[in-house]
Amino acid sequence: MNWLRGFLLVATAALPVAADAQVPYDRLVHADSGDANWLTYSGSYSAHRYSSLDQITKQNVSRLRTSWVYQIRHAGLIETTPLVVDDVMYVTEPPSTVTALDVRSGRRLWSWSPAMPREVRHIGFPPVNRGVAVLDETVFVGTLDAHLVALDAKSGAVRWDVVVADNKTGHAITAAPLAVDGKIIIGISGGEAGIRGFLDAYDAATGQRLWRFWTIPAPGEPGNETWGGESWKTGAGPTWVTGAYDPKLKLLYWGVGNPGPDWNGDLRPGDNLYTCSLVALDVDSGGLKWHFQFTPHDVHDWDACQIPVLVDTEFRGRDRQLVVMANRNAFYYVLDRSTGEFLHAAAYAKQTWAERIDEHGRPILIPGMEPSEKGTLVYPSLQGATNWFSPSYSRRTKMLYVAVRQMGSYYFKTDADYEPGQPFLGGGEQALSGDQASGVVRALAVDSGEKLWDFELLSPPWAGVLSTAGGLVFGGTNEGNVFALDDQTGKPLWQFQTGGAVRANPMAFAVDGHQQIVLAAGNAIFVFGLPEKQEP
Amino acid sequence: MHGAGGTGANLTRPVLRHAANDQQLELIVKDGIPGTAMPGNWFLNDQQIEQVARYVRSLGHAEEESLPGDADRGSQVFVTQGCGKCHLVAGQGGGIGPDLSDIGSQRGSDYLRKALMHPGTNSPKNEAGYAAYLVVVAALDDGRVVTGMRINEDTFTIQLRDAQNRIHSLRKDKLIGFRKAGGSMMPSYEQQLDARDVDDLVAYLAGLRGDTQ
Repeated sequence: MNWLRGFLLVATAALPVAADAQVPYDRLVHADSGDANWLTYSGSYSAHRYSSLDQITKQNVSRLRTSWVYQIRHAGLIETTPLVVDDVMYVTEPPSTVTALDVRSGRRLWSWSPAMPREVRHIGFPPVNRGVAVLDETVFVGTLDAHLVALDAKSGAVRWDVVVADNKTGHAITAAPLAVDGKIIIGISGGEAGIRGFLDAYDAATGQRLWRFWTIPAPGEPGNETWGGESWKTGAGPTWVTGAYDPKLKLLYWGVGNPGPDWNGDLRPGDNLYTCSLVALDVDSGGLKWHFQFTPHDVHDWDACQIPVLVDTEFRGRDRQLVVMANRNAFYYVLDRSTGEFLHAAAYAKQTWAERIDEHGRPILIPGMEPSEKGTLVYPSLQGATNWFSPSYSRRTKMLYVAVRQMGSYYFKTDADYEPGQPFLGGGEQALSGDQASGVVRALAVDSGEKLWDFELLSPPWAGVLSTAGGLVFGGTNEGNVFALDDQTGKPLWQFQTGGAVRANPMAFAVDGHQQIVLAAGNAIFVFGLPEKQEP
Repeated sequence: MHGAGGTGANLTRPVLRHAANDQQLELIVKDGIPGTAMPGNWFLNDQQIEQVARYVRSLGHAEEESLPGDADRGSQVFVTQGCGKCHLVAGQGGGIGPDLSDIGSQRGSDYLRKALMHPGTNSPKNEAGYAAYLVVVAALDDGRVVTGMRINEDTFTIQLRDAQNRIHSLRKDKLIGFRKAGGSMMPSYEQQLDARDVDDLVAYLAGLRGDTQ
């Protein structure tokens, strides 16, 4: 029977997309049109992390209750954004397990774990996974040992499994893939291991690699001149957070991480393109359409692996197609997403490293803010003013909500020798933690980055935010609170103590007409909904 | 770190409580100690971790700090000054302040002397990196004012322990005033003890290594 099974698998993989495919590309294109599901990492290709569901409102959110809780089987940090497709929730458990759950009961339907070697390298980050992608009837996941795997959505059976890169050299995958028309886009981690970063596209049906965009140009390619000597070979530039996509322009928008070694820039003179940049890539070829570098020659590990948010709005009296980003370096940027033209930047959080951003988008540096042997105090900290966790753009309020970290660090500089599969850092940091640090959920005007309101958090957050058509912003804290805020004022309207740190992004879906809010905390995934019957 | 300063454990001992062997010590240098303020050092490579561990181990070969006081007499000072009302030693005493049963392993003599003379200036941290024993003054909307040590806190609530060892669970949205006062609930003994008493008490405390039953 084995030959028959093999034949069927190959035949199935080679078939064109079935007419009744669960999640055809067109459904992903319209994922933000009021669907009760959550079909892609950021909720839509525009990466708004906004739910059109409006059953949970400012008036009734105080009655929110747990619908069910799913406990993961092996303790670890949960950073997953679940997807919900037609009554099935797909979550990832650390380090790289995929589990399908019945959305009504929270009961497990199937679970798949990769066979990984005992010693998996994850240099500079914990063994986490941020979620899956779904296309047609297949679920896609990247694994900590840098494989990309396609699973049958109904059973969890492996359709294909490809090696993206060698984990022994510090390559790993923690990001959720992005599914587009017949392609699976996957980013790579390893910015603290001296990898040469890239972004890959794979054929969704076969697993064949279609293109690779190297984030560090090779000799002879534009941008290589921004790397001194041979430093481009170990220049890092990982792509470890899921990007955005414009189906009309057919452009992918993806943040690129820090240069390597992180804190000793002497070893890599130059601007170090395309690290700490946003790149816009042709989805069919992987060709670079444009790039914008936020932090040239970064020496603080302020990579640009944040969510690029695509917004169509009026900007200075003219309707424009924008991409905006609250960057880890504490500045908020507005770019034209068809051309990459720099339009505006403003600090959205405390920073002590740049006097301002000039008219071309380049920071004017404050002298003496580089890492040093004795330590240099700089805001923001190594973890940035924000990080991988998602912001949310509300089409209701036209505000961008950002979970902001208010924390400084002493940055240290040391020598660095590259050794494959070892940390390649050139320094370190000592953060001002505890009572010296805090956080906020900050509402920004999307065109200017102007602060509209703050909701103060005890500590610098590791959780993203979700806005909804019900007028709410959901988020979480390190201390275990899941909360809802008024989207116009930031006033807290509900909170629930989960008992474990929240290090994930919230999302929303509906089942049987009932809206649910989902957020992982501690070692569990919590689902909240309104009581089905009015309480007496 | 050398037993004379710092807020972490006294490392000038041949046997460390959390690191019985070199392998465990290297793991601690790399990953920290869960549930304590000892952080991990993910940015060190294998060679650097080994070097740090070797250095820490070498501290255990240093001669123990020689203290001027009389520990036996110090134990009497401990009793006469009523330290046991707030502190536990070997299961005996009160639970408002820190348990001192193993304090000699955890703190050096400078730290102990400072804690007696100028409480609150050592600024020890809890496992989350926050000031341990932070004094907070909270004004409630019913007119009451609660002063106590912070036990725990999140964005929405705070839990305090007052001088009578009562626990107060407070919602921040119900407070009309909230101040992190700093300092310590422990009184200063600078005026109450003479130099000999202080030396003796420090010698007694430095000798508490968790083995007194």
